[in-house]
Amino acid sequence: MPEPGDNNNLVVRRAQAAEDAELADLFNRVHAGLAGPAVRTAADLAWRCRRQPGCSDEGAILVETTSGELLGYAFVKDSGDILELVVAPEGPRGRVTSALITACEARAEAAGAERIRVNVPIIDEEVADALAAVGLAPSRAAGRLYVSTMDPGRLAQILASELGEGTWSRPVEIVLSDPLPWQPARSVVGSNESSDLGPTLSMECRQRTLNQLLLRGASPWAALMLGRLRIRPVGKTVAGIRLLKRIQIQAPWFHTLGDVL
Amino acid sequence: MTVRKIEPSYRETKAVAAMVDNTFGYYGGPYWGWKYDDAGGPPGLIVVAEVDGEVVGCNHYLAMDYHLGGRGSVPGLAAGDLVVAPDHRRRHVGSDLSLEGRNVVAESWPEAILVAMFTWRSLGVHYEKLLGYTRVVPGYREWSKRLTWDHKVEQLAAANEHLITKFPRLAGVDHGIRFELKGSPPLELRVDADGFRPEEIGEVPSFELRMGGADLFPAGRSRWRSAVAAAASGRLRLRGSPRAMQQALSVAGAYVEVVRLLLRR
Repeated sequence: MPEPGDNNNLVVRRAQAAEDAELADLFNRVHAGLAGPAVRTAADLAWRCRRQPGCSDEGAILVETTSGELLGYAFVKDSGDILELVVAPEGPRGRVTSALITACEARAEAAGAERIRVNVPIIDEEVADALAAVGLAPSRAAGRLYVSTMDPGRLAQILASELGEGTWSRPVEIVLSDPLPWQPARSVVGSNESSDLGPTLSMECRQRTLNQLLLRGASPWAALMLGRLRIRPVGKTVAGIRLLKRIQIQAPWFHTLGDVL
Repeated sequence: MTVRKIEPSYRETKAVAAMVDNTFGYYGGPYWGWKYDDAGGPPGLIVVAEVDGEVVGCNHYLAMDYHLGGRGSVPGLAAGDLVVAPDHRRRHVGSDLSLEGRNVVAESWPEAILVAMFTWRSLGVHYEKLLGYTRVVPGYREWSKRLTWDHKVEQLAAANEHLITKFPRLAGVDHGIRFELKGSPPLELRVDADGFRPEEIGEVPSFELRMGGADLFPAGRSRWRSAVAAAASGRLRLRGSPRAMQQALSVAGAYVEVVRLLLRR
């Protein structure tokens, strides 16, 4: 693994299609802590970043050590949109970013692009600093990501199951006051869903409110105060709020330009 | 109106592909083929709205798993390419298609948990109410670099002598402008007796000119009409110090030349 500041042992070359599985693994590893990006596979990368109109083999760029250890990769379209910029957590991330961007810029210029652009997670300051150092600046993002659930109660169950056994002494009931035709009005959340004891508490809200609570990290207290969330019995309100806060998705939402379809 | 799903091999897909192509221009036909008719791509679902056997609207979904922020991943759908034929717009076809289409999706893909889509704000607000979409807080930043920017700034510096001679009123102004072209980093210019110079605006009265694209002033159309149309659609925005804007108006001709130079391909 090269040391930071050592410029002589990075290899920048074209990423081959046969390496897509390794690239997809790196993508999933780097983005596992974020919400939103689609899980990549070799087939997905080939479709999303190689066969997409405006993509070419020259736009697939990889950085590795002289011993062949993958440090990062990027796919840039002829328009200058960098569909993916992925930098491994190990190694000299700043230099890898700089090498990838320089190669993307050269490719975009050769293809006649007017600009390059790329999405980077806000929490990744190391990559952001490297981008600023090579002349990129933050600009206003074009698209807005909207997310909904087919069944918010089912998502609540999945998120709750991640918390593991022992979190739930007894199940919790979620009631949607305005279920859409395909959504069940009632879901039971908690590891003891089959318990004969019945739910300890019941939360009732609109499906949109539940989506906001789960996906956007909206404040359950605010929802309660505004009358958008009801918890029964009232004596269990604090426990209900605490549970909601635990199952909310708090991770930052992110998407690459390759996720914009 | 009936809503049903079709397969990429169905004869109706020709009408769907043409509809998407007409609506999205450059991002139409070739992208439609890549997204929904690529053998190696993710499985897709096309839902159409029909009136008297004619396809009047379509909505598309692609199946993919989404990362859940350190909590694994869940199966989901990328929704997009919602189009209504021009003759059937403003009749709630889009809303009905989205709502009834979601029912079709629920039957076809019962394992899907999330549905994600990218759209602009006004449509997003509508879908928040209709289908419970929520605009998630963006945890990312878009970074960009205008590849021709440095060259344009050099050209601007070279043009200053000409601008000062042609627009003597420049001698009487001193303000800043933050020029922001969508998808490009902002460019700050100081405008005074020395012309237009790229430097940080600092404390001088300044205003911001934000443009939603470099194609706001198409050839063959009046500049003023184009500007009014762009401002009405929100693609051209001006805000900041009234004093700076008043000064800018007094040298409007110089501004037109500068913006043209910056946008010229």
